[in-house]
Order: sequence, then C-alpha cells, then structure tokens
Amino acid sequence: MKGSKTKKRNSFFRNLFYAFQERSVRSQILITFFSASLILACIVIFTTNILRGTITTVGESYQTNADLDKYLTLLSETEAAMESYMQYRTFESVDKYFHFEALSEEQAQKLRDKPSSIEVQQKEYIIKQLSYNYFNLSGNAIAARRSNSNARINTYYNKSVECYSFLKDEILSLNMMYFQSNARIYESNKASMTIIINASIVLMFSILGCAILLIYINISRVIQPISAISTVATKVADRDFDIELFNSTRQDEIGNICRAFDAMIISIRQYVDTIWEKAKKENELREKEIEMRALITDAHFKALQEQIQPHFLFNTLNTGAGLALMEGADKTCYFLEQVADFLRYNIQHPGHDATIKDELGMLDNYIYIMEVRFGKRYEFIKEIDEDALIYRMPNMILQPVVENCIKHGLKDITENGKIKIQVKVNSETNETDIKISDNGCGFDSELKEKILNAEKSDDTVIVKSSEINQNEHISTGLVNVIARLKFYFKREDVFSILDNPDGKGTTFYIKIPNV
Amino acid sequence: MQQNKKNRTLRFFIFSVFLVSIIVCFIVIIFNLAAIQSQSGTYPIPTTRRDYSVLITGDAENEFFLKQVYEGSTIVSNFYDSAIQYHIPDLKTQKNSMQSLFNYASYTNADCVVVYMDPDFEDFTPPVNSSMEKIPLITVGTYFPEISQVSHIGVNYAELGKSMAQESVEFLNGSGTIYILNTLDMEDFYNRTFVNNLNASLRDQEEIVIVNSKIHRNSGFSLEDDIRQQIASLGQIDLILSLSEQGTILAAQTVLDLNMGGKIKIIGFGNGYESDLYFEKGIVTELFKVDAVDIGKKAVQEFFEYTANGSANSYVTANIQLLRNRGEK
Repeated sequence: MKGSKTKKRNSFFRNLFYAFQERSVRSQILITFFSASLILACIVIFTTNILRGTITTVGESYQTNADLDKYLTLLSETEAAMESYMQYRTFESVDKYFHFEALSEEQAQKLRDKPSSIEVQQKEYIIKQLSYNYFNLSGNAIAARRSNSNARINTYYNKSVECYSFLKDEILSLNMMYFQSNARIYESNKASMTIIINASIVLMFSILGCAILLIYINISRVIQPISAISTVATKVADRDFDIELFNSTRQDEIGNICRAFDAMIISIRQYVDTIWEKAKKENELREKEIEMRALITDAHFKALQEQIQPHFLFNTLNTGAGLALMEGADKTCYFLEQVADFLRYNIQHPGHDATIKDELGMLDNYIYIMEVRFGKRYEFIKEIDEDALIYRMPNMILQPVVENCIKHGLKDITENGKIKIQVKVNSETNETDIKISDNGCGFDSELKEKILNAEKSDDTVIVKSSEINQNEHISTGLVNVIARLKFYFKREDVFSILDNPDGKGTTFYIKIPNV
Repeated sequence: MQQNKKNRTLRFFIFSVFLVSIIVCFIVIIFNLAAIQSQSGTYPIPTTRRDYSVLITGDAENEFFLKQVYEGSTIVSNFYDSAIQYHIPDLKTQKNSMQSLFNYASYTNADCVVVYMDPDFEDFTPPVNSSMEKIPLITVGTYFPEISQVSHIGVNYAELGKSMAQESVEFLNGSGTIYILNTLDMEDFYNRTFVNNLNASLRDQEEIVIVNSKIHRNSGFSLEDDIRQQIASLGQIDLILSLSEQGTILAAQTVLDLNMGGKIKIIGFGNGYESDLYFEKGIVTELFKVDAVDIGKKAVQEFFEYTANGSANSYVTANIQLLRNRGEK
C-alpha cells in the first residue's frame, strides 16, 4: 500500500518533470524564474506577516495598560466635571459630566461581572463594582446639586469622592498588575521576536539558496546541451567526425537541435564517405589514364622508332610497285600496293579510333599479305554483319589479335589452319560482338590468366607487360589491345579469351558497345 | 571519465545543499510557528467565575496576620464558590478609619466582610451593598458587641493564659525566674482575663520567682528604656514571658541590647511579621500565636453557614499555635 503510494507520488513527479521538459526552452526558463520568484515572494510575504504579527503582538503587550489608562482618564474627566458642577453648577460641566460618565460606563461594561479566584480578574470585578457605585453616587451628587439639597450634596459628594479615590487606587493597582504581567509578556514576546527575526533571516537565506540552486540547475540543464553542441560543432569544424551522437530524448528546442545535429553529423559522414568513394574511383581512373598515356607514349615511341622504317619502306614499296607495273608484274604491283596500304593505315591512324569497316579493311590487307607470304596455309573465313560496320572502336585492335592467331595459335599448323572472323550486332544488348577464332593449339591457360590478370591487377600494365615480354614477347600486343579497349569503352567486360567448344583453338571475343 | 566524476560530485553537492536548505526551511517554519504560538498580546490566564465575593480587610498594622487569614480563606474558597478580596491600606502610618474600610466594602458590593477590628475603632456604620442591604460581617480581633455581626472569631484568653503559664513552668522545669512582660491595656476585659488566668496558674509554683513588669507610661522614659532598665536591674532572669506582640518584640530587642541572647529565654505571643522574624532567628525561644490561616477558613465557613441557614456561630474560638524553636508545634 505504502509502496504503491510512493510509486504514485514518484509517477506524479516524473510526469511533472516530463511535462516541464516537454515545454519550450523559453517556457522552461520563464517557469524557472517565475517559480523562484514565486517561492521568494511567498517567503517574503510569509516572513513579513510573521514579523507584522510579532510586532503587533509585542505592541499589544501593553494594550491592557493602555485601555485601563484610557478608562482612568475618562473617570478623571468625569470626576473633574462633577467637581466643577458641584462648585459652579454650569451647564457645560454637567454636560461634560454626562458625556464622560457615559463613555466611562461604556468602558466599565467591558470589565468582569462576576467575582473570580484569579487576582487580576477579581480586581476587574471590584473596579466594575466601584465604578457603578461611583456613577451612582456622583449622579446622586449631581442631582442633589441641581435640587440644591445641601445635606444630600455633602453626603453624596463626599461618598463619590471617596469612592473615586478607592476606584483610582484599584485601577492603579490593577494597572500595576497588568504592567508587571505585561512586562513579562513583553520580554517574552521580544525574545520570541528576536528568535523569529533570526529564524526568518535563516529562512530567507535558505529559500534564496534554494531558489538560486533551482535556477542554476534548470539553466544548467538548458545550457549544458548547448555547451556540448558547441564542443561537437568545434570538432566538426576541425573535420573531426569521430564524435558520439547525442541521442537526446528531450522534446524541447534543445532536443530538436540535438536530433538535427545528430542527423547532420550522420549526413556529413555519409557525404564524406561518398566523396571518399568518388575520390577513390577518380584516383583509380586517373591512375589508369596515366597508365594509358604511358602505353600510348610507349606506342608512339615505338611508332616513332619505326616511323622512319615504314616511310622508307612505304616509299620503297611504292617505287617497287611502279617498277613492277613498268615491267608488267601485276601481281607484284598489287602485293606491294597492299603492303603499302597496310603501312599507310598504321602510319595515318596511330592512337585514334576507327570504324569497324576501316579495321576490317586493314585486316583484309594484312590477310592478303599473310596469304602471299605463307600461301594457302591458312583459311580466313569472314562473317560480317553489314549493320555493324558503322560503329567505332580503337584502331589497330583486330590485326594484333589475328596476328596472335597466326603466330601462336596456328604456329605449328602447316595446312587446314582456319581463322574465322565474325562480326554481329546484338540488338538485345545493343552491342556488336566480334569473335576471332582459330583451330590451332589453343591458348595456354596460365598465359591467358597472366594476360587477363595483368589487366585486372592494380599494377601498371607497362610493368606487367614488360614482365610478360620477358616470357612471352608476343603477348604484349594482346595486353595492349585489352588495355586500350577497356580504356576506350570504360568497361571491364570488353575482351575475353575462350577455348573453343570442340577443344581445338581459341576464340577472342570482343564486345563493342553501339554508341 | 574525470568530467563525469566532476559532474557527479557537483550534482551530489547541489543535491545536498538543496536538501539541507529544504530541511532548514522546514525546521525554521516549524520553529517560527511555535514561537508565534508562544507569543501572546493579552493576559494569558484562564478565566474563573465565582458567585460570591468575600472581602478581608483591616488596618495596615495587622497586614501580616490578615494575609494569613486571606491564605486560609483562599484555601476553602474554591469549595464555597467564592472569590476572596484582600484590602489593606498601603501605609501603616496612615491610620484608616473603620468607616473607610466599611465604605470600601459597601462600594465594592462585597457579599461578606471579614474584618480585623482594632480596639481604637469607634463611630462607624456597618457596610451596606448597593441595594442598601447590610453586608454580613465577620469580625476578628476586638469584639464590638454594639455592631451587628454574623460571627466573631476570637481567642479564648483564659485558656491562653493557662497554656502560657503551663508552658513556662515546663520550660523552666519547675524552678527559675520569670519576667512577665505585660504591655496590654488592662482595662480591657479580655486582657484582664488573660493575665488573671496566667497569674493564677503560676501562683502555685513555689520555686518559680515571678517578676511582673511595671510600665511607667508617664515616666518620661521610652517604653524600650523602661523595660531595659528593669531587666538589667533584675540580674538573674531565666525567662521572659511576653503577653503581646509588642512585648515580644521589645523583649527580643532588649535581650539583644543587653547582649543576653541565648542566656535569657523568651516565650512570646504575637501574630506579626517581626515576632515571627525573631522566632526564626532563635531569639524568641517559643512563640504563641493565633492560627490566622484557620481563622480564614472558619470565617468563610461561617459566612456560608449563614448564607445557607440564615444564622451562624456568633462566637468562634480561634486555635492557638505554639511554635518551638526545636521545630515542634
């Protein structure tokens, strides 16, 4: 039972706290200040009331004396008026007498009606009795004076004076009693007042301390997250994103700021990751570009090295062709022209792209030369889709592949060697498939792996190719072809080397996007 | 980690200060309320209500005696639903007339007046209340047969004389010299009865020498000198037996003057403050006194017997106390 009450109370305070926390920061600060002010105001009012009450009480300590003194003054005035009337018999004096007698009687009525065993109260009773007797006797004296009855005047006057004397003595005696008692009360009240004032000062300071603490705690609650946000913001400004998220549950603006800050940090982290990835990719591309440029430079270098030779050879061939024509050797002339065309293609399009048609034309030249050179040792079969001729691709791609077939695939073949060239547009993938196959000895799998891995590896192609050169000099052309294709189309799957399904020979498969 | 520890310490400190402040506030508020509660601007006494007011009055000379009467009447006042009023003029030198005291009783409408009647009083009118009805009067001291009174509480002087004589004989173990110091007015009937009975009781004691004081009222000497001369001239005195308050004081002063304190014993009579004082100092060896507290009780009892039955004992004998310096009564 007690536990459930405590739980309820705790729940109430928790709800109150949450309700407070859900308010805006402005409201929280205002509530804090208003609460503190309210507490202070209450305590000031409380203390003021206590002090006012205390001062009033202390002031009232002598109230009974004051009242009695007032009564004695009224009686004195009554007595003086009576004596004046006895002496001078004036209207004013009798009027004054009745006036003060009435006032005195009014005061006397407040005194005790009955005897009491308590001395002070008994004294009040005696004073009341004396007062009424005095009023009676003095009234009789006045009446006697009015009627000029001398015998009665003397009797009542003397008696009233005597009664007044007793009354005065008793009042003074009671006043003294009151005074002694009131003095004790006054001292006691004064001591209490001193205690109350001191206690009130302690109370004020305690409440002030509480109010300051309340303000401090609440303002700290508001400011602390801002301070944390500031620290985190400074870290973020210094590009340090390795920070703990706030995960605030607060419902106020601070909570909103914390959540927004968390979201911002997460967003920045993701953005940085994206940029990082992008930069990484760009870096890779840049590296590949550099690599490509190196290959091109290398090719150019080689071309330059060989430029003198082709030009010289080209001129010589043209001269030879002219001579053959003059001598009527038409076949020689045609051969020399084919060789010259082949060389011209090489010289005129170094490092550029060309249409598939151009590439096939150059390949025809090369095949003719090879046929003249090796006779009918190899059969070249071409299956060309005319629609594919317009698409562009890097130049000098097909010739090195065919050359590889002749030099490696069919190197040991003396007859029935076949090199098949298929060019076909794949409308589904929007690509042009170029397949160059032979029926030779096939491609050494280790070498194939090396050539393909040389391309996939992070190392530069140049280094790899030079390594390959040391082992397989001829493969350099393939590595170069693969690299240039990938670079040109910016794709990895543009070149593959496949073993023929019948187990004889190799198929080089080139995929050219139709752009 | 260190920051967390700091925060924890700060929180603990704040919480402690907060808690202490709240406790202090609570205590102070309770304390203040208690202090306020203890404060009072009015006379902090309960109220009692009685139906009768009994006035005890008399001359200032008998103040000590009347105070004891007042004490006695106060003891029984609760039982009789009465309040006791005590009125004695302030100055002993100011000789208030009996009439003045009665007038006071009249003006205060007392229901009963217990008055110590001094033999000097004369020509007075008994007190009446505001309805002009006579106020019941109970007298103590001198009996005035001419005034109407409910009761008179007096001493049995014959018995007192015998008691004093017997006490003196016992004190001296049957032999010795007794100086009887008599300052009483022998024209008074009661005084004469008192002295006669005393002398009659001592007369049979052959081994006791009795010396009566001789007061020469018109000798030109003061009473003190007269008594001192007599005592000094007597030589061997074992006991001074004083028959009045005045005599007891004189005897004590004379013994002290003659540096005979402790050598001459004094058996005195009196109800005054001074005789009590000499007795307490051991100068007066034994003191006969009227039991004033008992008189107060009896006076109230008589008044209420009168109220209830319309009559009371006209003469009531007051008890006599004997105080011995050995602490015996």
